[in-house]
Amino acid sequence: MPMFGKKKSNVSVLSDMADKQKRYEALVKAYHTDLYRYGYWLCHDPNIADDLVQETFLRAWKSLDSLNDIKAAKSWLITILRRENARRFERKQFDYVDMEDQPLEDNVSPSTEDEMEQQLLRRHIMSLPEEYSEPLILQIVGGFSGDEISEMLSLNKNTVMTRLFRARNQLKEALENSSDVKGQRNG
Amino acid sequence: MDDLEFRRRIYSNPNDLDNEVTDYIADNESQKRFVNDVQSLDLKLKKALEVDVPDSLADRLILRQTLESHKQQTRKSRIHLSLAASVAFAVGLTINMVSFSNAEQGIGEHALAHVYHELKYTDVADSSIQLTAVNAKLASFGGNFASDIGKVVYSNFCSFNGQKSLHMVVQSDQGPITVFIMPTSSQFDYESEFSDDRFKGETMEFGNRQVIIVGDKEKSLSDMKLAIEHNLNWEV
Repeated sequence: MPMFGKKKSNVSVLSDMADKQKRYEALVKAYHTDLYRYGYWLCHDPNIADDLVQETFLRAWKSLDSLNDIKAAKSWLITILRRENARRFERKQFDYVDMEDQPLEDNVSPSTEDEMEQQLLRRHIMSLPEEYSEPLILQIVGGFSGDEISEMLSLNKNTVMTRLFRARNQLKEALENSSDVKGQRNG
Repeated sequence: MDDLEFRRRIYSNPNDLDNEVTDYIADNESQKRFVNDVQSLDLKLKKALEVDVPDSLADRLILRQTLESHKQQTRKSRIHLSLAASVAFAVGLTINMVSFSNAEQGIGEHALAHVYHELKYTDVADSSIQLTAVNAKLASFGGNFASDIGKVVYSNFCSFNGQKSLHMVVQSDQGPITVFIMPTSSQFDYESEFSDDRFKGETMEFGNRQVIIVGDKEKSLSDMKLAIEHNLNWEV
């Protein structure tokens, strides 16, 4: 029945689907970790980060055909996630808690000096203004260059470099101050 | 490169050490220490930023997409199903309309049905209707009889399936013959001859009018047909 079923094209549609599925799964495996971490540091909440990543990949699946350059995949996903995060604020504003008053996600009580320092550092990262922390996370977690970050955030490169400079500067000072405080307390 | 520029470079990206930077710190221990400090800060930052990712996240992402595309496919097949249902419905409707519509019914079939339906009136009709009275009715179709075609016992307008027609019964030596006179209608399939087990009939066309005669099956209609052809005149 040539009218109702074109067997041949059905087969190719199916193989297209299988192909798309494969590409999608590869994207998930390669980038879900970085994306989750980026989301986490963007919203400071593991559950929201999880939701953000879910939404991001769902959108990515729907427009997967528009992704031609696999090298651009990561920044493409990051861009989707940033947009999803922005939409979160466009929608009804829920009661977001102030993270500084909240226990951090890392609930394991730190046993070693290193772990204590790491928790302290996380606290400091969280208290960075978003405009400083975001480029820093993109650089360290995402491994993006200054040019790539400036493109993703629609900022000029000098601004990005300045913000990276200030982010590290603030973190270094904060660490030095808190170790001073600790030292004084200990002493 | 001055010290400010150097610090900016290292703070912006401690791992971006080009020749310019390495030359600048080559002979300066404190600047080397500064680079090391910032690099080790970056390592700590990297560790701190690497929060635990839920183990199930990747699997859930794949599962959700699978469910989503399955849902889409089901939705698609549901669309196909409803399309098929609408087509079937339309086909059914069309078949119904075609099989029960009058377009499919032959004019003879309807004429016979009409004859049977009016038998109880026409059988008992015994009046002898004057030619002038017949012609008065016939005038509304633009026709008239030049002379008698026989003894007219019944003459009335009636609805031939919504079409106004003149229904006459003529007594002849071939028994009672029913004559319908009406404008030609596209409602019916044209049948020049028709019959059932009791009656038979013929259709005569005169331009845009038609005359249908129905008589006993065992008798002849040809005399009546001739009489009508000779006597029936139409106004132009």
